Amino acid sequence: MVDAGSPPGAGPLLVIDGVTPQLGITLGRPGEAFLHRRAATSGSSAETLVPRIADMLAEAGVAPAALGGIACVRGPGSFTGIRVALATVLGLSRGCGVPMAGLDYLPLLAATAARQATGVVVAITYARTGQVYLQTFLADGEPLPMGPPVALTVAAAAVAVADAAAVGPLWLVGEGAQRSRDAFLAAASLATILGPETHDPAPEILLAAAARARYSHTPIEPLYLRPCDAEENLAAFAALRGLSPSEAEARVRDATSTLA
Amino acid sequence: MLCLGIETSCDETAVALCDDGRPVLEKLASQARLHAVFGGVVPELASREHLRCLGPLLDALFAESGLTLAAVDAVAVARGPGLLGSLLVGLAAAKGLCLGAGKPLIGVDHLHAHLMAATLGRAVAYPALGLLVSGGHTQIVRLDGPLAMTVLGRTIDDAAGEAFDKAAKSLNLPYPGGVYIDVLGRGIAPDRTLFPRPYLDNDHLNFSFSGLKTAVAAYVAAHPELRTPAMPDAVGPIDPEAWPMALRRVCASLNFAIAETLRVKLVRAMDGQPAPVASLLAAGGVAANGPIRAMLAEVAARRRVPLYLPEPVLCADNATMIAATGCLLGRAGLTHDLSLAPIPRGRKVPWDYQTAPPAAAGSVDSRSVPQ
Repeated sequence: MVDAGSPPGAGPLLVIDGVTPQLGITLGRPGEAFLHRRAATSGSSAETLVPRIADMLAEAGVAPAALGGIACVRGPGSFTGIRVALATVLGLSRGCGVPMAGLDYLPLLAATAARQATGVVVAITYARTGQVYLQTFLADGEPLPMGPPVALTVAAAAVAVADAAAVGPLWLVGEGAQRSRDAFLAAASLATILGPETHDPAPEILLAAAARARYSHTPIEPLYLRPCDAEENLAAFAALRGLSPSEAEARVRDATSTLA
Repeated sequence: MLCLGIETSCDETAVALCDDGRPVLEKLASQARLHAVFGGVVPELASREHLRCLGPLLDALFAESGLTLAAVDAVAVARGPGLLGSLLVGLAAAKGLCLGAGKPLIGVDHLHAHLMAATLGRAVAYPALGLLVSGGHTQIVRLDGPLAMTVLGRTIDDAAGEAFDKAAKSLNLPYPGGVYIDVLGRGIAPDRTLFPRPYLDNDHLNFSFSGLKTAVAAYVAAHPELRTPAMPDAVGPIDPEAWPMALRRVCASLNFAIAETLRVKLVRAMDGQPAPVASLLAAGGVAANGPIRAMLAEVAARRRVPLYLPEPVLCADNATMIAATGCLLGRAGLTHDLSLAPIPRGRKVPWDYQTAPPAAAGSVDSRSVPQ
């Protein structure tokens, strides 16, 4: 059963963003003084994330149980980064009894861009293996999504960008836009590609989103957007095992929907 | 000491509570059916399943045990060796729990925990010789005490369980295949010359199973009629009578080859210790194999030493062994800080505990593992 959730409590909000190697932690409430750290993880985020959270809570003099809510960016982005953040938040939430909420990454980037952009904002992040994660927004103040987030090849993303250019002044934000800027400018020559200072969501944007989010004790569902490589090649694996693709799909679906 | 154990080293997600080493309750979700479709563990899928299952399992553990996190004295977590992405999920959740609830963190060597599973509830005499056999590991170790482990020999390539799993894969039996090979070979006389007993013509205690793996694959390739046309779904008991005799003889012969190889090195290890071995331990998923259990019982009887095997349910990966080992370490005052790193497969788990005052009085041997 899905818990629709409640607004956060009165205490400070903790927001964790581990979808890129630039691990972000924000602690505070919108419109008030806050703490924000964003720094590359040395090695694995699993080693640095919890000590950094502990340091920031200590610096602010906030006990975990006094938090108003624990928000976590749930993707899309690095699969491992998403999981480390979500597993940490699950443990932290269960440990101190404070509810949690998931935040989607691409609307946060679009909202960060919308502080300087009006028109159409396309958030494009790097997804490895020649792909990007992309979502298009209508931005006049608070960005409104024009469609769901998707994983696309750069070529398909360029087509989406060209389509978006027909709607209005076009702004591209995110590391994926920067990395493949030539392809996107070829598709939409008048697009503005925002710089690296907008590649991570601004702390004020993270806190505002966390304040609006609905909190519960239900574990946050990750937003991977892509199956893993083995799942994409399921038909080939099935053939090796003498199974039809539909039989293999049924077995995978069955095995990933039960807890026994 | 009440210890929560978390295990996510490979493809079992498990949480358990142990009270002073006594199992209280375990909740476990196996991913075997999922990975069977792919013929082996898919690391990314395993990691996704760990995250999906961990919350519901934790909630069920506390709801069904009637205990609360507040009553837990320490959180123990498998820190390796294992699949990095899988370990990270359990490790991150454990650290979050520790920070949130103000509990000490204890990282547990997954292999050490497997051996401790054989000692649960028993007054084991030391020095003990331990055989650890699983899908990822094959080791002979000496334990001079519960917390003093020396590795005497290990596989230089594949683990014994890998030989079982790959043989099963070539026969198109579901992963993990060791169970099938074990059950199908039951009651059948092995052909003792069918497969080699590898890497015995030397004077050390290391193993090598890659040649045996290749020998089985070559034999199946030469006898394709042995292969099951469509892989069965790995659900429910296996009825050996329903399978062809030729296939069952291959299984019996493989069981024999692996059990015999382990026997030779185990006896060699027992003969080579500075002090007489006082007991024999075996653990890991492959220690559930019937012929290997029979071999161990025979060696122990001949040497007149007690043999300690985990209950079959504690042979495979589980969290009870993590929680029980956490109790031992916690009572000795050994903990980790929240920067604890996971250890991937193939790397030695360092003995890097921080020493806090012992949580409870007890005669625990806390000598460190020789590095």
